[in-house]
Amino acid sequence: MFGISSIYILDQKGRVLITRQYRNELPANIHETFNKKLLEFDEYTQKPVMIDKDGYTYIFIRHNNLIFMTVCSQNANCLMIFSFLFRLVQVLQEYFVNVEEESIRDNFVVVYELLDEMLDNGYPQTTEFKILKEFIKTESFQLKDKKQPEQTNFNVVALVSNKISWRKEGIKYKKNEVFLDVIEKLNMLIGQQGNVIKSEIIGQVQVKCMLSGMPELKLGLNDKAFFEAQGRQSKSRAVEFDDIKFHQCVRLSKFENERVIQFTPPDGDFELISYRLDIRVKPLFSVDVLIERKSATKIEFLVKAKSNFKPKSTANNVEIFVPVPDDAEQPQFRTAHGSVNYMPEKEAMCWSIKQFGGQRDFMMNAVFHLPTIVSPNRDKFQKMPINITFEIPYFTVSGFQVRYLKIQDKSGYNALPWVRYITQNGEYQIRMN
Amino acid sequence: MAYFGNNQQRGELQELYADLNDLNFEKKKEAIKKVIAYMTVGKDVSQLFQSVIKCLEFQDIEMKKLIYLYIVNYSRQKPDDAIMVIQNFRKDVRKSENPLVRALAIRTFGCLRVPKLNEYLIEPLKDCVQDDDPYVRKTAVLCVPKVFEVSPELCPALLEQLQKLLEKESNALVLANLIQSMREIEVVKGKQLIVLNPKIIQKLLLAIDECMEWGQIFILDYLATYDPVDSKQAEIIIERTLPRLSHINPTVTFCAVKLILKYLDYLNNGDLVKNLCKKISPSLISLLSWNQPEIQYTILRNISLILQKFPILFENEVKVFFCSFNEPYYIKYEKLDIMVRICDSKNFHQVLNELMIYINEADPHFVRKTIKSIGKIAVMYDKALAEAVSILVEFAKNVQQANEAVQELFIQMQIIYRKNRNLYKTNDSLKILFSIIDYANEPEAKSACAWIIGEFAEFIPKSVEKMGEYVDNFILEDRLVQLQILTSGVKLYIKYPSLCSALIQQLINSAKDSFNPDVRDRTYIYWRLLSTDPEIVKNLICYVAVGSSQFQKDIRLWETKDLITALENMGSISNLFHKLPNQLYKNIKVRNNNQQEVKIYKADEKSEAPSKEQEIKKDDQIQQQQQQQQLKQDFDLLNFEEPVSNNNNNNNNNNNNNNNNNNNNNNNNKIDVYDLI
Repeated sequence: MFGISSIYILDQKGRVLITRQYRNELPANIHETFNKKLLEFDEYTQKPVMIDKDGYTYIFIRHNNLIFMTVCSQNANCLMIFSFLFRLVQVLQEYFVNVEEESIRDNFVVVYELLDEMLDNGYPQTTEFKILKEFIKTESFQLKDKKQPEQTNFNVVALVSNKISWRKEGIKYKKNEVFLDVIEKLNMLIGQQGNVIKSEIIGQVQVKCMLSGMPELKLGLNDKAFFEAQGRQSKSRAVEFDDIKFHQCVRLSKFENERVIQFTPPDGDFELISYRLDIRVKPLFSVDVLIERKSATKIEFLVKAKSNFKPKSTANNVEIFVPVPDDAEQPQFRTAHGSVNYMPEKEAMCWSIKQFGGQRDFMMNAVFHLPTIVSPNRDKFQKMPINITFEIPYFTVSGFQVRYLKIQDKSGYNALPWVRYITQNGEYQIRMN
Repeated sequence: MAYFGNNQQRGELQELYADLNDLNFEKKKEAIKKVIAYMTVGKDVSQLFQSVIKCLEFQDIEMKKLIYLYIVNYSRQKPDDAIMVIQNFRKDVRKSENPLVRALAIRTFGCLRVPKLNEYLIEPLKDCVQDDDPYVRKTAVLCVPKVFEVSPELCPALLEQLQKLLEKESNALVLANLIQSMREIEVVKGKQLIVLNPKIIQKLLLAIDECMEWGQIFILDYLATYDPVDSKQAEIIIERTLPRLSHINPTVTFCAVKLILKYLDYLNNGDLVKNLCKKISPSLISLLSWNQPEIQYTILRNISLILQKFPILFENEVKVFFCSFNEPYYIKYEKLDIMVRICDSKNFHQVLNELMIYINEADPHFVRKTIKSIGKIAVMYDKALAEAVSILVEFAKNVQQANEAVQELFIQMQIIYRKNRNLYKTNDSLKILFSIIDYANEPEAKSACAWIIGEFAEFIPKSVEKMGEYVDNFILEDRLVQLQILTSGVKLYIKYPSLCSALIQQLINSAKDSFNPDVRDRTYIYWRLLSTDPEIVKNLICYVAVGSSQFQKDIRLWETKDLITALENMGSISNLFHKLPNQLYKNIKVRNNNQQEVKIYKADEKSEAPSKEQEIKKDDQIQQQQQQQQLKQDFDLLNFEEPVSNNNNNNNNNNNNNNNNNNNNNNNNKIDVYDLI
């Protein structure tokens, strides 16, 4: 497995903003070959990996108006390169917030420094923002640290090769607090008859850590496998994870053997856990659409939306996107709840309801005029699914719960753990037909 | 600071030159930044080489980095000037107190790639490999392959040093990079370099726990190429790898999967194997829900490979591969392909139901693939036939224009009819198909139509008329269509001799002078046969198979020995293109696998031990035949479109003489579009 031969950051038109070669074995204008190659495909056939006649492989991702592209002249690990590119974008985001043409141009020195540190001989090295920022600084950072640059450099080097490379010593907070955000996204595909074809929960635990020193944290969940490992029956509802993945700070072998989640967290924000549950969930929302063609030039939609979760929960910012014919015009909407907008660019109407209580149903009526000249894709809308977006705070579909978070540090301070739950839509679709 | 000056005047280089030589440090630094900016956009600033490297004497790290970047870029153009830098490098490497500076110097040094500079580099590099600071060591270790590539003759001592380091190194980060570097040299050299012993393996396993994510990848990926000595060792390594399945970096997870899958073969505990499969499967499936399609795509491409050896992993998981509406098409295509592969006698109903939805999508190319998939499933499972036909007929009813999906419809219907002739009655399929027959415009689809007309002439009211149209346009048709028209024309003549005598005359007249030897030969054969004994022709051409014909199915993507190699390269570029590394990269020598068989892991095994699949090979000795027969049910064939081996599996192979004997695939009864005479 070889590494990346060179990396490019290109603008929308394929012009080079940044380029760094790691193995000097490429033709000078290889990005132009890439640009030409890119034109051979349209949006349907475009794949994120291309190979040219000389055996150079182009692996790329897009972000905003930029293309991050790597060239490999050897059989590199493609998955690793993709993971790296996404990480690179993430790190740049931490540095410049908005990663776009302008911020790259303005900070090109920093970008070069980063590329130098994050890849060596084409292999990813340190990609942890929290370490990188210690020795690669943008100009605003730089000023305050100027007094003792040598000193920090030494620490950094130790940090990179350390066991705990994601946290430095000597962090201090007046008030020690940890905030946990449990975010569950529901992916759901519902058939025409309201039957669930696919349902999947993708969960995340986001942490904002404001703790001093080098604390040791232990997180308890209502994890079924944990209760089983302990040999006790769970009193309340336990969750059976299909898959669970952790931030690198978590001691994975400890988890594997004892199902205990123990870690020394990085400072600040990070994603601690991501998990997946492959369980059959009842649809949180169901939507029925009745379409009536009043005449050749008039079409009427009767949309009925129903929420199936408990009455005590409330969904916020519910948006229901119902596809309409691509040449529909002069919309007339009638509803007692929320507001409706026609979005011709999405070939859909969007019904937004600010607050949608549990066990409620709402109706909406829409009438469109259709031109007498029939658009060739007029019936396409019936093949498109209805999409729903929503947020339900203080609620997890899976029943996921944080039981405790124990925080221990040598200095013995008291810390406050906070937790917050929210359920959101993932890809929540209802087939219309 | 303006990044790119819009109008670079001639004096600009002069100005930079002046700034670089200015006494003011800040001015120098700004000038260097400008030089780098120009370099990035491809403007030639190599003339400033001398002035730039003079600035190296300052200890400012940021500036040093920029100057090094510049040197790396231009050293090959100006090797003589680059020599002057050597002193600075050596000073940095040997004298600097700051490990960051030492590492930076050695890293840059390695990137120069000028052979005659390398001899100056060897000594400092050796020092760095033994540096006290792990950061410097890891940088030095990564530097070795760079030097090796340019001047291998200088390296023997260095390589020895690396081996020693492998024995005694304890820092995880250094170890990971060391393994990666040595592996790279191994590949370039084509010789084994890393000698593993239990102690080193132990150390590597420990390092996995301790080092950063990318290092874990290097180690796992390397261990996945190692052959454990026995079941016990395999078990231990797997045990240490399992926690990695919970890592947030998809590549770490994937490499762990790769390692475990490889080691399964070495385990002699059947229950353990099953349990492991149960653990791996959800991890892989999670990677498929990754929110970046690029990652999903890579995983999907690899899964179609994994499937061949480990069908067990995706038993009952077909719905994971259902497409969602907004996914990019390159993902949908892969999913479609995999769905067909894991379709079996239990879940075909579920799969067909899903495909029925896709058939309504707007993109004709996707619909085409869907139809093709339906056809494949129908041919594989007798029970699925009727359902598939009704879906396709439903589609045919709504056809309003000639697009590529319709072409595929004809092709697949022909194959289905061949499989079971009686299906023409089902749902009026033949009638509906005939009503849209004019939409066929691709050669393959047209030839399918011609076949259908010939085969079912007696059930189509206007068959002779339609055939007349085909014959009228005979000369304009593709060779493939011509051949089919010939055969079908003769069929029609046999069925309705009096009605078609003019037709057959016209057909033979237009065909006998064809420039294509295939067409000409076939014409003459029919002609001769018809004029001697039409009865023989009848037996030959209008032969109706009793019951449904035998179609073999083959979901193999790879030959056995290639499968092993491919599995070793999971995640790599070559696998992404479903190629072997040596097919893509000339310089790679593939480890020779003499393994003739490969374990297939299936779920519905009655016995504990996984069954063995025997490679079907032309020159295989008969000794293995018994075993083969036993397994025939598990493994049979249907051609998939991207064959790995270079034999052309296309239905329309262009060889006029039957060179096919040389194809290693000739065991398969392929579905030919045209009839054999």
